[in-house]
Amino acid sequence: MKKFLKDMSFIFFPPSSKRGKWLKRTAIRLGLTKSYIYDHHYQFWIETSERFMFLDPIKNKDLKFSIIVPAYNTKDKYLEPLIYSILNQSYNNFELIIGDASDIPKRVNAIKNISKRDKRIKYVRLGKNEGISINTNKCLDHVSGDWTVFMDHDDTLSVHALNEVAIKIKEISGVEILYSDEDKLTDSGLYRHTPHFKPDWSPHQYLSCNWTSHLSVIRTDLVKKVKGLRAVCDGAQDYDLVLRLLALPGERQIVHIPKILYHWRVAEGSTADNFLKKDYAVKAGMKALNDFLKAKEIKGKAKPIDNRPGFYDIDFTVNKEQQALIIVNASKDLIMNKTVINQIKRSSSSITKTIFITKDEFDNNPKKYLDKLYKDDVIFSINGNYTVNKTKWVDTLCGVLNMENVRAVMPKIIWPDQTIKDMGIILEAEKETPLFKHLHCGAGTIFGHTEWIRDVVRVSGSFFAAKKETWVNLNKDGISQLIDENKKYDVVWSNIIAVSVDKKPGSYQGYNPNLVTDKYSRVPRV
Amino acid sequence: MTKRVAYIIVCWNNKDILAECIESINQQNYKDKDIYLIDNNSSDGSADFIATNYPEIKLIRSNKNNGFARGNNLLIQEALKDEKVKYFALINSDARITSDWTEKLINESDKHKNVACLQGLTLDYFDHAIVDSHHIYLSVNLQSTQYGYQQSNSQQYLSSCEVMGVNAAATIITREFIEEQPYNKLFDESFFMYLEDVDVSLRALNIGWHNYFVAEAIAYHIGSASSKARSSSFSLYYTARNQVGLLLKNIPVSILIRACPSFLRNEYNLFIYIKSNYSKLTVFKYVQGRVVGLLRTPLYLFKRRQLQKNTKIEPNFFWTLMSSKGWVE
Repeated sequence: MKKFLKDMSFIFFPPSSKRGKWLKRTAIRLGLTKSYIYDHHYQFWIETSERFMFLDPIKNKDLKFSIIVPAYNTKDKYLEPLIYSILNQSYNNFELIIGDASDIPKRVNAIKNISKRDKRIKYVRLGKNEGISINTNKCLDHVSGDWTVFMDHDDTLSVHALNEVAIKIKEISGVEILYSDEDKLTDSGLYRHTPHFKPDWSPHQYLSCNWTSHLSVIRTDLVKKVKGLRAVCDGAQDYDLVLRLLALPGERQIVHIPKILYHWRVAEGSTADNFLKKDYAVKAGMKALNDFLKAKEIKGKAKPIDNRPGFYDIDFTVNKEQQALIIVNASKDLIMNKTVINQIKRSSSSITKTIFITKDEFDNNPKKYLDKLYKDDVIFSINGNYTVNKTKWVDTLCGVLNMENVRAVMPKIIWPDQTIKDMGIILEAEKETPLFKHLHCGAGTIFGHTEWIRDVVRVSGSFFAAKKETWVNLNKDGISQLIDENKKYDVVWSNIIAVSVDKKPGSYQGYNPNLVTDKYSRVPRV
Repeated sequence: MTKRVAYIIVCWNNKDILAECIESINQQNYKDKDIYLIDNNSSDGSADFIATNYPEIKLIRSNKNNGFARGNNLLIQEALKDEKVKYFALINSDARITSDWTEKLINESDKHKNVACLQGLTLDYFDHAIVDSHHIYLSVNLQSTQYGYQQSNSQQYLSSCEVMGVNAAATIITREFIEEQPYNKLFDESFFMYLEDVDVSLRALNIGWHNYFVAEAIAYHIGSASSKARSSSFSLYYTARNQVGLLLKNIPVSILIRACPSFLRNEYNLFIYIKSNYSKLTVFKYVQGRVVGLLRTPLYLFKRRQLQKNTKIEPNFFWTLMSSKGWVE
């Protein structure tokens, strides 16, 4: 009966329409459904394993943390848990600075009274609400700690957060920025859901999305050097701050703490709920990215992606003197797949010379082709039959390689039923595993979104590109070097998708076997 | 003229815990003191234990179990006969105090006018890094709660302030406040035990007197801190029954009406929680407590009429205290 009602509701109350949203809201209020995605694996993990991961509190509490919270008409149900979670930290040596720019006098009184409970809370009354960046900059004047922690006024910290951060700072010398994993919290604050387990520092992933904002701990010297946040980038001000820090000369030491220390509340009207509710945030992020590209002298322009607010893509402008050599390891059915080869040939590019050859031709006389190329020219090696979704993919991949710290690049490779075939190889518990294999092309996972650009340990040998100086040293069947002494990254540029013409193994007659469970598909059932 | 402190302890089958309590009192810096103890017909020989080992304590032996409230009232009556006694320190048999506890609380009470009750920071006896209670307040759901229960101890960052109510595990009450009460009876004897301290605090607020928290004074409390004791049907019955009386006696009508929806919602949630996690007996006792409390309304309304003659409080002030979790501005 329940299933029947659910299916009928999909027809009469389509989920993305007004009626559908009304139905969802009333069902949640009546208690028939949950307002979040309930994952019993995660709930079980919280109760059993997570509590044993946190470390004992350290005795030497030298470092002082300053937590900055810009508040604007915070409700009581958001303010109390925030204060509780901070005052109950196992690491005592911190100060909390609340910058209050509220209009309503009741809220002002509530926040003022809460700040009298403890001597570590500093209450800063801001006369006007000039936006979140200027409010936090005024709080920065009162900061007296070595490290600043940025927090939103309706989120909560884990009770072990500052302890973990302090231990990590003492382990690794020269740390400048730290970030940790995060979690979401329902509006009432009762339930935790959808965790985000982040990878270690990946600079190119940062160009596609801002994923290190919660929880971020930065040294106060650096924040004051860059003069705080910029009002122009309100909505993506934390993104802008870290990008400006990365644009400074020298390398930044960024460290990841693989524990869930921050709970991001899905309050009504916040970006956690729906990024589009703050339209200006998308434009702010683009501005931040464009300024970063200018500062790093990367010739490109940021642009947003249509259905994905908050994710960005870069259009590279091409160096016209660069040459590209494409080596295709054609299959035996070369005649049948001539369309594939023609498509690759017709891929228009502004690079002057794209030389297209097959692997046999190359193996016969490699020197003939390699001598024509300079150090900076790009060599593509394609082993298999692929069609690429964008026409200017050669340009973009060459543009990616022109960035300083990229060793090799590959697009995202999928099967025709839109499941991922290949996205590079990563280290998971010191074991090499393929990244996101067999997942759907546009899926969101607890390890992030599959559409983000990723930095991987190794690029797979089926479709990759590298500059001549590196390509020559690599193994042709696949890249075998794990650790690079020059600290260069292998990038999976997932904005470009290569669809393999081969069928997915295990699929029947070339259509998605998962469709068998979909009741309203028109595919005949097996 | 010195101000004497009378330490008031109620005992019922607590022989193994008493010695440490009394020794912590004997080690106080404040020298002018007397200890009064009542033995509510206990069967493990605690009266004889006190009589032999601590003969200087003024002991009262009772033939029946008077309960916590009446036991304290009897001792206070006894102590009031001594005119030098100005402060009454109520200490549970499972509470221990540090050596400068009385000194600090008395210093704080001398700074203010119309002081009713005072409390230090009571910590958990077994883990000194966890707080047992900071103060007591009545929440917006009309639920009496201990602020700071099972939270971390940050005593160095706290400052003394005025609060809504006080936890009777370790408190000091002034003589002037007791003499304001009808018949000089501090606690309500129809509350056998549990929630008398909230009643006292609300009465103090209604008269316009003040309760204080002192950050430098520390006490330790074993308490019914283990969840077994809290969920036992015995304690649930008394808390459910006494809470009805508490609300009927002390709270202005406008606040009862205003808090009604959240109170009912909280009742519903509590009922479901108890039903899903505890036995049928506890559920029955909880419901029985509420019903018996409602059946006692004539008694509580009679007492309300007696107390309402001296009320000076504004309902809005009461509501702000409840919504700010017991912290006074």
